[in-house]
Amino acid sequence: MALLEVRGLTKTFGGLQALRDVDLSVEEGQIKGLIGPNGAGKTTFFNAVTGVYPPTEGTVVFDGRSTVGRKPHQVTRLGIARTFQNIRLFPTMSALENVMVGVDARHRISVPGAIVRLGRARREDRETPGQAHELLKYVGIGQLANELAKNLSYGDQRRVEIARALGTRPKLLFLDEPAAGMNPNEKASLMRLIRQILDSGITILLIEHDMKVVMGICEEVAVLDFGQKIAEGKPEVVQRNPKVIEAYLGVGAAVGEEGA
Amino acid sequence: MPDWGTCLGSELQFRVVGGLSTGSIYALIALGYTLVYGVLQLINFAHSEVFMSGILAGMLFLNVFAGGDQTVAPFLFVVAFLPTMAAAAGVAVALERVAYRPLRRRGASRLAYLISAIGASFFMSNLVLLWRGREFENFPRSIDPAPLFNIGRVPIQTADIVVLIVMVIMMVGLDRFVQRTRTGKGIRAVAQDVETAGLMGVDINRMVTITFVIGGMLAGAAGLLYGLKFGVMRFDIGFLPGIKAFTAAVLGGIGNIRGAMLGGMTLGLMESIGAGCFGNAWKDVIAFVLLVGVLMFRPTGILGEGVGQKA
Amino acid sequence: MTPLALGPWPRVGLVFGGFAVAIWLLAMLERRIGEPVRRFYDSNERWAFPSSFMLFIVGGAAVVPAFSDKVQIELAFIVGVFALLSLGLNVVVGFAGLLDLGYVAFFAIGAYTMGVLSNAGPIQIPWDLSMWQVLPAAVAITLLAGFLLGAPTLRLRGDYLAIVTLGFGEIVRIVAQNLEPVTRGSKGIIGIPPPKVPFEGTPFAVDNPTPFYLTTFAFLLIMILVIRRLNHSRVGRYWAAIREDEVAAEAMGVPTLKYKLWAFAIGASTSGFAGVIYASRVGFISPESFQLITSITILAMVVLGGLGSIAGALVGAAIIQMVPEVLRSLPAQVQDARYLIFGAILVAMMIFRPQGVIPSRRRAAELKGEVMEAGVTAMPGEAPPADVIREPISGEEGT
Repeated sequence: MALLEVRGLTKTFGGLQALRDVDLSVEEGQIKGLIGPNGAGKTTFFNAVTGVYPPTEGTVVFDGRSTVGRKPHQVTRLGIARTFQNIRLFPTMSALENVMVGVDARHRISVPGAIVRLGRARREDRETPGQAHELLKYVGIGQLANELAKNLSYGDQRRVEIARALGTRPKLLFLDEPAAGMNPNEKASLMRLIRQILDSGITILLIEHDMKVVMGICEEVAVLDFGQKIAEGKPEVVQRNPKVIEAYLGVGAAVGEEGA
Repeated sequence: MPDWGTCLGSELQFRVVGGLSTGSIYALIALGYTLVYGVLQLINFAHSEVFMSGILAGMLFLNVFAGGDQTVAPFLFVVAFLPTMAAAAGVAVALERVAYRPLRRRGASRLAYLISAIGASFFMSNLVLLWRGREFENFPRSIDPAPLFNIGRVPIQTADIVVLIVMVIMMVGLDRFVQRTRTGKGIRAVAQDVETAGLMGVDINRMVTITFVIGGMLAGAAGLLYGLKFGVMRFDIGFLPGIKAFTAAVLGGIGNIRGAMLGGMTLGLMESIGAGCFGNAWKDVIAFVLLVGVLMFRPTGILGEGVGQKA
Repeated sequence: MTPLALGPWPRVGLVFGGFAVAIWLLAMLERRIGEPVRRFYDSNERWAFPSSFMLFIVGGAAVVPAFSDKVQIELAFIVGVFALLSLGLNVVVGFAGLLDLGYVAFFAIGAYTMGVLSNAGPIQIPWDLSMWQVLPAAVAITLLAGFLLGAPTLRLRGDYLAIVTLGFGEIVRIVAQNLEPVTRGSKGIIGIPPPKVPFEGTPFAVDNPTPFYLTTFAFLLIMILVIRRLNHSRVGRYWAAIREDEVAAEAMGVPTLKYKLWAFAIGASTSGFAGVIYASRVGFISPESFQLITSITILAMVVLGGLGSIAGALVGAAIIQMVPEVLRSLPAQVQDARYLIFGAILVAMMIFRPQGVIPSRRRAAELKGEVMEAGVTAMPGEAPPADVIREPISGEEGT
């Protein structure tokens, strides 16, 4: 049984069919890429699976449980975490506080409990900053813990977002165009981080436009176009698939290499 | 418990025309809310005071010509539309300039807009309080209070007919304006996508100002009609109709012009019938319950949102 | 104080001139030493807070011997009640970012609960309850009311929530006005008894405001501590996350609706609480006491003092309640202009100093628009959300 099993996923917004009958599975321990031209439905896929909006049709089974109809915070607590295409940190909270919010997802928090603060709650409260700090160090920016999120550089913000997502102790991590806007050095560094995360046992589904990144780290790749899956397989094979080339470059385009 | 048989049966007919005409007044005010919301995503809390300024302006204008018995010739009433609508539009524009534009320039949060709107509303109504005092003032009468004609057993008041006619004229005019003229298209563009509209050369500030002008004019007309129908004016007279008009706008679908009309008429009708069943004291609750109910269960309204979409 | 030998309007001018100068001076001062002081406080919070809290306790208690005039202690009592209200609304608006325009409804429910359960109203119950016994009942009722009202409405976008709560506030008032068999309608309930104390010689007599003031002050202290503790815990973090980016918060496992509900309910029960005490002291309540303007006044207190700042809420309450008192020597027209000035202050505050007198560090940046808040989003240039219930993730639809 794959960790994530999506069958017949369809999402319609009014007249627009953003996703059409998409089948996708992600095996545990795998890193899979999700690519396609702009508007193909990749982020919509993320949103539908994580509960931002419910699928119009289709089934989503994660770790043996259906996510359909669940709210995003419930899906997160099941074990799927995500980052956003346009980085969504909490701007006036520090990097550490941002990650702490992620770490808090591991804990059962009740409001009366927070007032009284007995036993377990107290222990968790004490440990949270430390755990958050560890995560920041893991992604390489431990020293920026007390900086306000809005003051960080773009690349560092990305890292905080990843650390925050990791804080929720996910089994599956959805990364939405993490390399966007980065220079080659930053991308290389990011790829190293992603591989590190993969090695620690977390499954990854990655939306990316940069083919070098995709080819570099993904074992398998699925291609969406106009909401439908048009190809799937090893990156080198998919890259040469005529339907995929057509989707990116238009009908009758020559075989070429997609650059960054 | 109300006598449902009567209040929804034989007595119903007496409530219809009156309800529709009150509803028309709500509709005209509602348009102001809906237009501004469509363009700025702002609930113009102070719009009720723009409406009130229309009543005030109308009253002041007509008082100049009123005889000792506080009546004016009917044609003067028609003439009064001009200064009344102009005054209300002026107030609306001033409101935008003072309370909202500085916030737009500073990129303020929506909470800030809402609080500023509330403050402006308070300022305006209390300004009038200081000026005119707490007592109700009489609006000059310009028509014979006797009913114009009867449909069956139901007497039809002249005031109601006038309100309905004016409302239809305004609605058609507004619809034409928004759909056919360049400015109207500009407003719809800004309502759909501010940034792109700006990139396409639309003068955002001007569109916003025009939106407020139109909303103000309609509220002014509503004010004059309110004075005609109900005959009173006071500093806080805008509050309840304002809330009800907002309810109407939401009921019909905020941002939706035809929705505002539908919502207004519906609310007016339901309120009138409800008053027949439950008594006048509970009448106002109907609007609030409707408001809370619609927002909780069908926030997009009957016709759905959007000046940006097809109205 | 010898009255100056000037006519009323020159005196008015002088007072307002004085105010303007004072505010300007304070603003200058704040610009100079504001940041360093704040930073000092933040880094030394461990002892800075307890010491300032101690000072607050001493100051509050010292009111009693300092003011021998009963009227002044009465005023202190009212300030205390409004400080409680302001504190509660601050949790709703300042921490959780929910605009509540019907806050007075819970105040009314608390007060009427006291009125009804104390047998001062038309309904008679077989027990003789004192304020102490009504308090938990009122808190429970308003807590429940908060959850009931909040559950369907807190999903709504900011503006809509504001209007719904306003509607609710008005509904409560109109019901109070018309439900004669329970509330005696416009006539109101009179003769609400002061609380009984289980020992000899009840000091809570009608003509002695001091014990009421001290009781209110004590409750205020407790609420300050409770709310502060909440805010400094993960709950406060969650509230901040919800305020700053609700969608991201949800994605990070924050059950946003639940936390909004809690903030709303805490605000509601604080308000109900205050209502009971108020009814017990004042002895008479009617729908007149619970109008929209009171909700707005409390909101003004929170905003003026500083959204999201506990100290700010207290300062705001003090300023707005006491300024009219200070101005009592002025002619009547100026007093009527009170609400006019009020409205102008609200607008001016939003334009020039949205973060309030004592800003909460986070809110200052948010309100100035340096930050996009989901749920209460900034206006210019942003694509209008098509969806009332949720903000769609902007720009990411259909990638």
